[in-house]
Amino acid sequence: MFGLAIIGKGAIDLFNRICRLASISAAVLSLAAKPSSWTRPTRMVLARQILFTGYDAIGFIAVVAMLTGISVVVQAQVWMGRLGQSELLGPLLVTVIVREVGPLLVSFIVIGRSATAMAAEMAGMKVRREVEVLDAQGLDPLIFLVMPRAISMALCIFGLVMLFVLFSFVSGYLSGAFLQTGPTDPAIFGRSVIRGMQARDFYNVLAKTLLPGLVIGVIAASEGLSVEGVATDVPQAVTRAVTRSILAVLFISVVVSILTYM
Amino acid sequence: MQELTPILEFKDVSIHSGSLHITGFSNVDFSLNRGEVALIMIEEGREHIPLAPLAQGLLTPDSGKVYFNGKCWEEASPGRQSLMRGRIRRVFEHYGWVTNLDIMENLCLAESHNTQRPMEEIRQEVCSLARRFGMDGVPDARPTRVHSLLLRKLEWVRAFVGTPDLIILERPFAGAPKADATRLLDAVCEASLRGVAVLWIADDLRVFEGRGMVNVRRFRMSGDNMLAEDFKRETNT
Repeated sequence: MFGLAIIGKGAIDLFNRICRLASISAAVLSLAAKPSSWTRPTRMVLARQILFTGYDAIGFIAVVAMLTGISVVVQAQVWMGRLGQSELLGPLLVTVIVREVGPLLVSFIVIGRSATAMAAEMAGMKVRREVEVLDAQGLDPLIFLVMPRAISMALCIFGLVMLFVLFSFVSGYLSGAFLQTGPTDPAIFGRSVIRGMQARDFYNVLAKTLLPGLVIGVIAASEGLSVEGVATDVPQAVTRAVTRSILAVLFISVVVSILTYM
Repeated sequence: MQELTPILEFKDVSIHSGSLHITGFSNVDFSLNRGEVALIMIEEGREHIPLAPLAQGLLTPDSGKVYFNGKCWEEASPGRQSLMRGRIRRVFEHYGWVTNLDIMENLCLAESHNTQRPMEEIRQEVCSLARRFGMDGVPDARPTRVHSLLLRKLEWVRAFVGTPDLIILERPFAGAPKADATRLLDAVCEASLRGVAVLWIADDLRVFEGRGMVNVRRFRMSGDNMLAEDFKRETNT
């Protein structure tokens, strides 16, 4: 009975957390749709967050994408060639890079690079009572702190995934051509990839980038803001933000993948 | 004659000391009209009396009601509350800065968020107020890089930017050079004449002695209660 009670309590806690996350995300989207929310300071926060989460991460994403492209594309070319299924190279690369590896890897990089910083920043602001300072000046923390960060996360993950896909295909093609495992004509490689894409891949990528981005932003900000004025709680809030963001990204990825194949 | 709505009104407000590290009080009643200054003397050792958070609707009283411009904070929606707080400026008793913004951004923050005034105009007003309070200009740095004495005076600047309905000064001389007291008192007098209500929470009223200020009401927190004191002396000249 005791074990059952623990499982039940865990389930109720999880359900409550998901409801809270969903309600904050809905509030963020609703506020973002109102032009009056986008005051000058809010636009400034959005721009800075895009700079930090998106622009500053391009170099790192490019390196990871190129390494991923080399290992995945070359291996795919070798094995498809051995199996005599070279015409399936495009669909396979789209499935692996565009649908799965790209969104997941970029989301994890953004969690490690930006969500941790965001959670620590929010928690630090809470500890130093800066959130109260903002609130006292008529700046709603949800509008000024959470909304632009969550929206920027969504936009940046989408943009970074597009770059990731581009860099990994280019590096994959170049390494394949260099090692002579794939076509040397870029047009053949490009046509193969484009033929492998379908309309549902577009929706899949949108769902696997915008949604996790929004959720990561909301989780990081809300975990940071949940700290109750004690500096020693900051690292714990960051840890919670990372683990919960990773779980949320994987959960969303699985659900969207299932829906894509249904 | 139409009755004027007070800018700030405490009606039988009580709050108990709790886990929020605040000093409680009971049955506080007072109102503050446009152009009035309320000086509230806090006894030594009774700091952290949450009058400012209550006046801004950031804290809910255990009993009683707090009204701003005739609207009860508890009855206002969160969006409306933010708009109402946008009409209030405050010098904070605690650290009152956002550390990831620089000083100028901090000083312009409320005005640029709550109004449509051009940024250049706000910046010019900030620089003008800084000069008025005896500073050469606004430091081009984040708050953590600025000396606390200067930060205190910069908080004065922020409190007077724009045209608020209410200015809350929580022990504004704490950590500030006493030599600059006159500058702040002058600014308060001018704001009062423009119709701004001022709630001044102080722990030392000596600075006001011999000082002619109009429309000043004086209170003292004594025990758990707030008592109105004789304020004839301040209402002359």
